[in-house]
Amino acid sequence: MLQKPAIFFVLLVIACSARGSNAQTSIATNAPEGKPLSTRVVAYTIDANLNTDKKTLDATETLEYKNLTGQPLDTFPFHLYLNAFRPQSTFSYETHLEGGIRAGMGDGYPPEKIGGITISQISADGYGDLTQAMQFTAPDDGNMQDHTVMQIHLPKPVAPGETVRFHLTFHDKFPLSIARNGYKRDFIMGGQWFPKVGVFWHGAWNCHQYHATTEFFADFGTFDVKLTVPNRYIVGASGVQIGEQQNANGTKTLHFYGEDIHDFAWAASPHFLVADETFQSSMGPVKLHALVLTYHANMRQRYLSILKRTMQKFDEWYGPFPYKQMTLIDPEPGSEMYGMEYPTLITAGTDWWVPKALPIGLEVTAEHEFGHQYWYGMVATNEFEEAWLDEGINSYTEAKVMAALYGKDTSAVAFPFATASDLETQRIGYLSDPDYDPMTRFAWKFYSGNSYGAITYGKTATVLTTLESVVGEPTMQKALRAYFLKYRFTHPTGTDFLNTIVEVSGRTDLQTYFDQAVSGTRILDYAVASADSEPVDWWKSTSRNYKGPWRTVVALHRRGDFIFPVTVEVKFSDGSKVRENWDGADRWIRYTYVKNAKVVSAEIDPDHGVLLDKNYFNNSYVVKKNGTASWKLANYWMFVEQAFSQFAAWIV
Amino acid sequence: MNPMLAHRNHSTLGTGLRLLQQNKRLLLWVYLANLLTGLLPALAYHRQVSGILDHSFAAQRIAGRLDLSYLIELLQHTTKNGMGVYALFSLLALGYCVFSFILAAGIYYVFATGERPTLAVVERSGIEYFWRFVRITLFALLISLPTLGILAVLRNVLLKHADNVYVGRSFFFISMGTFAIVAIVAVFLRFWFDIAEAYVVQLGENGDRRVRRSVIPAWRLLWERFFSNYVSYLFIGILGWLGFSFFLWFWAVGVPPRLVGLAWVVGQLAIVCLLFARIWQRGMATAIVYSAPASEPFVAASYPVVPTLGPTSVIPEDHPQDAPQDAAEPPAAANSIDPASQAG
Repeated sequence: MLQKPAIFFVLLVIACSARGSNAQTSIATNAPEGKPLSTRVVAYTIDANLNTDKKTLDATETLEYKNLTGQPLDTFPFHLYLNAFRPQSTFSYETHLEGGIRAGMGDGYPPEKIGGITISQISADGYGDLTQAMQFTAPDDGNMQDHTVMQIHLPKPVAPGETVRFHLTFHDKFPLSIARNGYKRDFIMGGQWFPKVGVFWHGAWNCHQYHATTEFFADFGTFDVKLTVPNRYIVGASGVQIGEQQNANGTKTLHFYGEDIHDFAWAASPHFLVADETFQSSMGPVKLHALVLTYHANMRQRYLSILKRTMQKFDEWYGPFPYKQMTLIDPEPGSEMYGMEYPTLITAGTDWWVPKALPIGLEVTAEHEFGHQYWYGMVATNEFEEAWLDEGINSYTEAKVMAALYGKDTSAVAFPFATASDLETQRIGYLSDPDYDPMTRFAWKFYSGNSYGAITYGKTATVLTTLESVVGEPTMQKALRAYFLKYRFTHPTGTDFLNTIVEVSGRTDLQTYFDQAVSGTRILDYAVASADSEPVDWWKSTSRNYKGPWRTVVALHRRGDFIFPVTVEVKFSDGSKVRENWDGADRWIRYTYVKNAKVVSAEIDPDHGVLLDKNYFNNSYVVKKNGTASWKLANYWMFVEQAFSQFAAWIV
Repeated sequence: MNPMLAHRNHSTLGTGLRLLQQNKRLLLWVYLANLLTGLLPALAYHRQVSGILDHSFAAQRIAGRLDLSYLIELLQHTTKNGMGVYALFSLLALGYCVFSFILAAGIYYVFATGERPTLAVVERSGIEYFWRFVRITLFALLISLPTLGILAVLRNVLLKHADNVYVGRSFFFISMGTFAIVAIVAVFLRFWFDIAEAYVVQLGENGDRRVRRSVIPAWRLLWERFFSNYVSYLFIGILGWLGFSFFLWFWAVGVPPRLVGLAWVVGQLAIVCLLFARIWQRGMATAIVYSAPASEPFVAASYPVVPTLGPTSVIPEDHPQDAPQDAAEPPAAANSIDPASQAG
């Protein structure tokens, strides 16, 4: 039994420790000791009222910005992304002109697709009303009608280390679904819905306009958001829900809190079914919160299953998932909200009929968007300027995870009669527009929307897989893990990523590859030009029973301008095989063998790791002809022609 | 006239099938024409891709369980250099359409006259009726395009509104339901003009070359025993599609991917199902035309007349005394003749 002074001492210790842990307790993350995981530059407090009939939102926002830039700041730019959904915007113009990857735009701009955000009042503590100081800017293209970036000039600068508190009142008008935003029927997606301050990065403000192909970039911080919606609505949001209050007017106010995230999104629908599960991350339990529409009730388990299995792989391969909740939204069918990532909230997408043999639908989308929690969410690269670091790396890890979960050759399509791998679909995407742009180009400066997609997603995945064949799969995985652990909750660049690969692999000879593949647009295409055997004494006549010796000549040809080390495997009729390594620099090379066996085949890249090669079909030459494939396709062709002709002849 | 068409009391569905059975060679000619249409571009395509595939390991990803990404890559390579194959594809489809005018006319002619379905007969009659069939097809397009166009527009408007309310399965069923309505109307129009085509041949055999005279009578014929005839016509079409779908399904799941020969046979069976159904439909249309009052001079002559059934003044003076094959039909068959059909 303890004495009185001892009891007092113990109580004091408990009280202190409890107070200490309260101070450190994290609400939305499983951070050790509750410490912040990121450098929290911003703290948003938003109180919003959603009008689900008019598809509008009225809100007040308080933004605390901590000046950690080391220099005084007298100008603050804000993103007003919803203003992109107007015909005058750069987003609309670019989408109309070159095609976007998240929206389509014909000749006219449908009025129902008009959206916008209006700031009616802005002030800052110690600075008074700044509403009149607001002015639109267009740092990328000078389009002053764009209105997706607004800046205010303060009368006096915010000193380094100081915090400035802005107060804004704003009004949103959501468009009919466009570019992962807006409404469809009674479903409303609140993405990029509030004024968001730019990032002071590399000595300047980085606050780009919203473009047809660009995504987002923001500082880490906390988000304390109250959203008032009609009672019948169910809402999923970033962070965790920490409160709910019923109001007298048939509405309810939901209170969400997110920390160590750089954006906040929500989705609301009266038709959500809730499906929850728990995933045990290496940092603690994570609530998987799937909001699936009633029309897709049969897909709940598929959503939860792919989410959980993906998180398991990421946790195992790349690092721990630190948040307490991961929310998955099943977006309204027929909308443009399929497949989008926000911190701790993703939209996936499916339809009621999608079979399990098509993982390229539901599973690939859910996997891809979750992957962004790592490559964008935590490793918060600049999506405007280096989109390959989020979309590209994520496409690479998507292919890895999908192959591990659904089979190397069946991770996209798995019918009994036809298959496709997710990785190969990435490569096919790359081949659709392989040489207009380098991976490193700013997202809005790509030749076209298709080129942006082909290079940013497809080529990056292909380049990294090819790199994997050089440094080895375990090394590549180790490098990505190191990159994640080193740069999570920061804003790294492409150089940081490539340097990490060099450091982890110990390969200092990769720069040539990076120059050609990452910064360049060269095309890799090596071919077996010929593979033939003839008697050594070729001038003598030989009988059919001639056993040798034979002289075999195999020639390889570099058809592209990309120089890459080549391995070729030559097989002979006696079962022997030879592997040759060529630096690939010259336009061609010839290998000669004298053996008592004839050549059977010659194959470039026999381990099938060089996905960058533009043409798989010329990578090998098999001496013995096999017409199965060509006749099979000819049969398809014939059938299609016959059937089509019959349909056409129906007019008679 | 084809004696088989004298069985006015038989169902048009059965008569159509018997016409086809009696003239199996017609199916052969149509199939051969269709096969030739498919064969030419297939050989051209084979020539184009065999150089890429026949000596490549990568081709095994196509020869076995079809790897779609390899197929798409191949298409990327061939599209860039081989637009000729695609042009040939379209040209031959068009050619088949044109040739179908000859085939269709030949089929109706053989069905109507009972002549042996030799290629020469089909060809001769097809050429003879070619322009008349072109004209009747133009009539058909003149009526079908606006009708189906309006329906398609209405369907789009309806679906646009439905999209605001119905989602998922319910929208799918609305979409399919409205599509089915358009399809039913399209089949109705096809049925009408199949009858009109059969009528054109009947008129032609009476020395009347006027195509426009077939459209209105065909419309009237369409409405006689409309429900049973139309359902039968639709049934034949659905049966053809079911057969086509069955063989496609079997091709997809039951044929080992490397057995190209077996795949070819199964694919051709699927094609034959459609051809079979189409010729059967033409047979049925012929049966309808020749069972109609308008064809009394041809039909009634084949039957012994039972006076108790009503007026039989349609028997011509030159009624042949030598009984045709069908004269051996039991009187019960004659008793079942619909008096109404003789009233005109």
